[in-house]
Amino acid sequence: MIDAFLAWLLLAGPLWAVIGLWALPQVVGKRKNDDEPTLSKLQVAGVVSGFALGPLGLGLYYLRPRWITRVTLTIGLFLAVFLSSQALVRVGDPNLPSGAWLILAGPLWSAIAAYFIPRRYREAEADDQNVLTAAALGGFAIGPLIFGLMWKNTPKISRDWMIVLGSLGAWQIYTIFALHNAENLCVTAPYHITYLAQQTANGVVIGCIYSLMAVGLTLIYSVQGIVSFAHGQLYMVGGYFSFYFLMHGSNLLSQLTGTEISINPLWGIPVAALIVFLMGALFERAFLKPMHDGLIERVSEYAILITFGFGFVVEYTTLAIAGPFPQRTDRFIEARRITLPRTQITDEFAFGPINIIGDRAFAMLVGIVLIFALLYFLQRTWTGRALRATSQDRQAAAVTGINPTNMNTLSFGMGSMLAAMSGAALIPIFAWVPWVGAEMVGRSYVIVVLGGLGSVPGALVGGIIVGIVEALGAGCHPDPSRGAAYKEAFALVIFALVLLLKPTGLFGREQH
Amino acid sequence: MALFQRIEAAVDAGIGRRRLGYALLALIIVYFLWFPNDTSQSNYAKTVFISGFFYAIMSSSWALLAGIAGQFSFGHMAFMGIGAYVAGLVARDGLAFLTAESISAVGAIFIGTLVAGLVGLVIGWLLLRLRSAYLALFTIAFSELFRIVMLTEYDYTGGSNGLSLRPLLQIADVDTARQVEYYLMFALLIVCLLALYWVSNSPIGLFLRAMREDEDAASALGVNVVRYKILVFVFTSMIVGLAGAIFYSDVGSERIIPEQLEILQMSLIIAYAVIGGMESLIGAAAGAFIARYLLEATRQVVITLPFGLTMADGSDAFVWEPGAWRYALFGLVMVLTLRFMRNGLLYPIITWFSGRGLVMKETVAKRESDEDHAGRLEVDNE
Repeated sequence: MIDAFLAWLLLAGPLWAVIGLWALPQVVGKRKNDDEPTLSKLQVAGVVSGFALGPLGLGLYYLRPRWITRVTLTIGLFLAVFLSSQALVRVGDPNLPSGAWLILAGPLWSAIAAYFIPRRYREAEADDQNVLTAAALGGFAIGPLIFGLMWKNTPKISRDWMIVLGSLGAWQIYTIFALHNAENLCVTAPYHITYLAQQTANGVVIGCIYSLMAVGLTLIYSVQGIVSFAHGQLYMVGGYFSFYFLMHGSNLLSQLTGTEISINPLWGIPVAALIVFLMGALFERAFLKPMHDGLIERVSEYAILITFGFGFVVEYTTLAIAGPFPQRTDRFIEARRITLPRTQITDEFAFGPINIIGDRAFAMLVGIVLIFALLYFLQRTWTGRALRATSQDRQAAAVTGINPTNMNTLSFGMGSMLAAMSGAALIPIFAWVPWVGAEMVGRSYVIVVLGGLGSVPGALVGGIIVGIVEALGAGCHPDPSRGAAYKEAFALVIFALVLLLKPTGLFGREQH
Repeated sequence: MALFQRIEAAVDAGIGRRRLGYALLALIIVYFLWFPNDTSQSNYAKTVFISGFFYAIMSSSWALLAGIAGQFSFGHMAFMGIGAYVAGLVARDGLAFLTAESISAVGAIFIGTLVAGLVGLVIGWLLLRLRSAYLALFTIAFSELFRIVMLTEYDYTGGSNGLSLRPLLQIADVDTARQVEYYLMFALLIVCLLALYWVSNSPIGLFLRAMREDEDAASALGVNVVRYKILVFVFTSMIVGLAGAIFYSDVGSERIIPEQLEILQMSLIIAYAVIGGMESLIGAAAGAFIARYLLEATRQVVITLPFGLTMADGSDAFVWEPGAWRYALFGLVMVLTLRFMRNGLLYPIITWFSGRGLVMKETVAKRESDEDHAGRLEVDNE
C-alpha cells in the first residue's frame, strides 16, 4: 500500500496540487485574455487539476482552461473516492456503516430533500434550475446537512455542486459495497485495478457503437421533435441487410470466379446504410410528412404510435423472412484479441494486461470514424448546416431558403441509417435474432435522455457512460450470473433517475 | 351506396339506429353466453375466447388511459404482471402476520389488485412531471426493469419458468372447468367495461378529455390535473392487476411468465386498441377480441379450391402457414389505421349506431361553410 501511495504522490496527488496552487496563477495570469479568470478561481483550478492528473492536468488546463476544470474535478473526486474507500475497506467493520448511513443519508433523505427543497426555492422565488437534482443528490450524499446548505440562503446551483455531491454519493455506494463484498474482484487488491481497467475498457469499446446508434435517435429528435420508436428495429434490420448482402455477394463472387471468396463484413455497412436510409426516408414521406403538414390531430401521440407501428411491421416481416435462428457473419479481422501492454507501476498498481476482443476494437474504430464523418457533415457542409439550422429554428431556416420538408426526410433517413450502420457493425460480434433491437433500443433511449434529447455531444458522452456503467455493473455484481442478467437494468435505473430528476439530461437545452 | 342509404333511411324511420344498436349488442351478449353450451365447439375454442376476453380488458383499459386521458403508458402489462406476481407470491409465502395457508385464492387476488393500485399511485405521482414521449420512455423503463427483476430473481419468482398462482377454481372435470372459467372471464370483462364506462361518462371522463387536449388550459379552468392524472393511473392499474391476477389463477393460463411482460406483448395491446379505436372503450375491447380471434384462426390458412381444381401435389386445398407474416400484416393494418382512420376501424360502425354521425355531419358542414366564409372574407380584404 505504501508503494501505491508513493507512486500516486509522485504522479499526481497533494504535491502537484500545491504546485498547481502556486504555478497556475503565475503562468495563466501572465496571459492577457479578455475572459481571464479571477485569482481564486485559478487557485482552485490549480489544486484540482494538480490533484487529479498531476503535470498532465496542469498542462491541459493551460491549453484548454474552459472544460478541463470540470473534467479534472470529476476525475480527482473519483480518485479520492476510490482511494479512501480502499483505505476504509482495510480497517472497516462491514456491519457498522451501512445501517448508520441509511439513517443519516441515503435514499430516504434523498426523497425528503427532493420534496422540500424545491418548494423552499419556489417560496423564496430563487432560481430553481437544477435544484431538484442537487437536492436529491445532496440528501443521498450528506443527509440532513443538505438542508443546512440549501435551505436558508437558497444558493444558485452550478454544475460543480452536482459533481461534488454526486461523487460523494458514489463514494458512499462504493465504500458500502466494498465493505460488504471484501472478496469481490472489484475490491480485492492486487487484481482490482486491472479488473476495473479491463471492465472500463470493455465499456468504452462497446460504448462507442452505442453512441453511434444514439446519435441517430438524437438527430431525428433535434430536427423533428419526435422520438423514433422504430429505432431498434432499424438497427436490427441493418444487421440483417448486411448479413444477406455478404452471404449472397460471397456466393455470387465465388461462382463467378470459381474460387472461395468471402466479402469482409465491412462492406455490409454501406449497403445496409443505403437501404435503410431509403426505408426511413420513404416512411417519413408517407407517414410523418402529413403530420408536419397539419393533417393530423394530436401530433405527439401520432408520432409515438406511428413509429412504433413501423417498428412492429419491420420486426415481424424480418421474423417471417429470416426466421428465429441466430445468425452471424464472418469476423472483421483475424486477430482474436488485442492486448494492451502491461504497465507495472508498483506491485499493487499494475494496469494490464488488458484484453480487447479484436472485432470489438474494430467495430469501435468504425464507430469513431463514422461519428467523425457525421460531425464533419453537420459542421462543415451546407446540408449539414441546414439540418442544424432547421433544428434550431424551423421558420427562420425556411426564410433563408432551406426546405424544412426535405430536412425532415433527410433527418429521419440519416437517423435510421445510423442505427442500421451500428447494426451492421455489430452483427459480426453478437448473435443476431429479429428481436435484438428491443434490448438495444432501450439502451439508446437511456443514452439520449442521459445526454439530453437532441444533443449530439450528449449522445456521444452518454454512450460511453452507459457502456462503462453496464460493464462495471455486470462485472462487479457479487453474483456473476445475476450481474449479467441485470446488465440492462443498471442503465435503466440511471434512466429512470435522470427522467425524474433532470429530464433535460447532461447537455440538453434547458426548458424555459 | 344507394342501397346502403335506403337501408339507413329505413332504419331511421323504423326502430332507430340507437335501438338497433342495443338490440345487436344484446344479441352479441346472448351469443357469448350461449357459446360454451355449443357442444360442437372444442375446449380450445373456449380457451381462445377466454384469452380474447382478457386482452379485451387490457386493451379497453389502455384506451381509457391513453385514448381518453392521453397518458401514453407502455407499463400496462407491467401493472398486470404486478397483480399476478403479487397474488402468486402472497399465496405461496404469506404476508407479514398472515401465513400462506390462511390466504385463499380470492384473498391473494385482492392483495395483488391492491398492490397494483399502490404501485400505480406511486408511478402516477412520479409521472406528473413528464409528458408524451418522456412519459412513454419512462414507462418503458419501468416495465423493462420489472421484467428483468422477475426474470432474474428466480429464487422467488421462478425465473423464466414462471410462477404458479393458487388456482381460483378447483373443478376436476375439464369440460365443466372450461365452461366456468369462460363465464368467469366474460363476467369480469362486462364488469370492467361497465366500470370503465362509468368513469369515462362521468364528469371525471370530461376532465380527462380536457387534460388530454391541453393540460395547461384544463388546469386554468379549474380541473385538478394532479388528482385526475393519479386517479386514472390507479384506476386502470387496479383493473389490469385484477384481470391479471384472475387470468393467471389457472383461469386462462396456469402460470405467469416474464415473457408476458415484454414490450412486444405491450405493443400487441396497443395495436388492438388502435385498430379497434383508441377513443372508444367498447371499440378497443371489440378490436382486441376480434384481432385475437383472427390471429388465432389464421395459424393455418386452408382455402378449399372450387370447381374441382387441384394443387400441384394433388390436394384440393391451398394450405398456407403464415407464421410471423400474420403479425407483419397485422402491424401494417395498425399503421394504415393510424394514418387514415385515426379513430379505429370499428369507429364508423359505432358512431353509426349511436346516431352521433348525424349530429357530427351537421357540425362539420357548418364549420366548413364557416371556413369558406372566412376564406372569402380574406380574399375580399386583399
